[in-house]
Amino acid sequence: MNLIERYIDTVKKYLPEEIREDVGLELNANIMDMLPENYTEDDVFQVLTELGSPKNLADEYNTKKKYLIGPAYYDKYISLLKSVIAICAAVALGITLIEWILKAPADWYEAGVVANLIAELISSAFVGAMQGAFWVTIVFIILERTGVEIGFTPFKNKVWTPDDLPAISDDKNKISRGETIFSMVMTIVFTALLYFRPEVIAMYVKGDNGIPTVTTLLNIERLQIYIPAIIIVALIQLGIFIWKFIAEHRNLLMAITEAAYNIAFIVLMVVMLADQGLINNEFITTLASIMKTTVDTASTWVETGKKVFGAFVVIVCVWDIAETLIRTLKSPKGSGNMK
Amino acid sequence: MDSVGEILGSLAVELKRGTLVLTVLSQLITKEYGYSLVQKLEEKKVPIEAGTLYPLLRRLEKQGLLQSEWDTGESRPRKFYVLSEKGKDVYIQLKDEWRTISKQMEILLREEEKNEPD
Repeated sequence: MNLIERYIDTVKKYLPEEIREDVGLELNANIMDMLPENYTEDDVFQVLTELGSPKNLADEYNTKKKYLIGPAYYDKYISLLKSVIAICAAVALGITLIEWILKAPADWYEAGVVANLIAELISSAFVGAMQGAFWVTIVFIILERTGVEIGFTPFKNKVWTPDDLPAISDDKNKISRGETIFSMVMTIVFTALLYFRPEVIAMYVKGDNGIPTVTTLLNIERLQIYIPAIIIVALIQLGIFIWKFIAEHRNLLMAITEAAYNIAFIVLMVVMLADQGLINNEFITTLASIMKTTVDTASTWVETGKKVFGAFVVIVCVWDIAETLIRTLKSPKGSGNMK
Repeated sequence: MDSVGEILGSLAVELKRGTLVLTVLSQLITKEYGYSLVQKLEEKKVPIEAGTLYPLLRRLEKQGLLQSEWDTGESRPRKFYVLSEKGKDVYIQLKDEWRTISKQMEILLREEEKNEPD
């Protein structure tokens, strides 16, 4: 292939599909025009040098956005990225540590045990941090691509008025960062537990030899069915946290989104609790044998436990919905931000 | 810290970039193809790099300021550009803008020269 073809092909590679052919033809014509008659390889070399790097030329044709996360979100992205990476790494560390303590290796002084623990801690913190960074980035890319209005829009076309100024800091409408971060930590802990280490949620019974037998609460295989839904719910939750983080103030749209999220969460929880297969049968038999009772009794205990837990979840969620809506509606600016 | 030359260079490029569209519009009352326009501007001592000009023509066409057609009559096909009705309208108004700016700038600069003779 000659130089000109190679040049044009390279430019085309960086262009959107629909203009490739036409730009290619035009560029070819232009290059031919720039060359003298009976041109030599050197002439071609000179003309292509004049046109410059194919990537730069293609960029000139392509005026669409070329970034994943643009200037409007960049600062918030970096600051949130740091927090989330720290939280995720800490959660992953915590879970690994707890798992080790619960499993209680027979002899901590045995060669390699501590080294193994340290290696596992480092790798789990790293994996946790990567997961956090990945998901935060995904959420920001979605924000950037969809141009979702989240109350922080210096570069959007909307005409700014002084009404858009954030209220003074003692405003009831202000979302507390601490609260957001706390809820974020809780979400990450639970998702990470269910997703990565569901076997940690278990009964640990110390045997005669000092090594505990572990009976998991959940049927891990069955749990896999719910993992996609759990991840989606956690992602929506993470998206809402990021929204809160950026917007800094409540608004009605946010309150409604949160209410919808809470309802989705309740539905998922109720479905999971109602699923008889999700509880590990061994857990019930082990429970019965420890408490020296029948399997049926142990099974009723578990059922009652599920109901109490379910009721707790529903109450917390409904409380959250009500509180958010009331707080938002009470404030003078609350309804004003709704489009 | 950048040298005076570097700063001046980048400022001059910026200044010139603002005049690119007006320059191109002014030359497309009659139709031209990419390279003929490059040559025409070079002759008139307002050179624009080919790598800047070709994409600019396309962008202006996309905005509806230029019309284009492939002329396949000659030995090799060429894409010709010419002002559209909308382009003419924009050109006339942009020209007025330019004249106002350059007049006001001239006044500013002269005033300053009068006040502070070297």
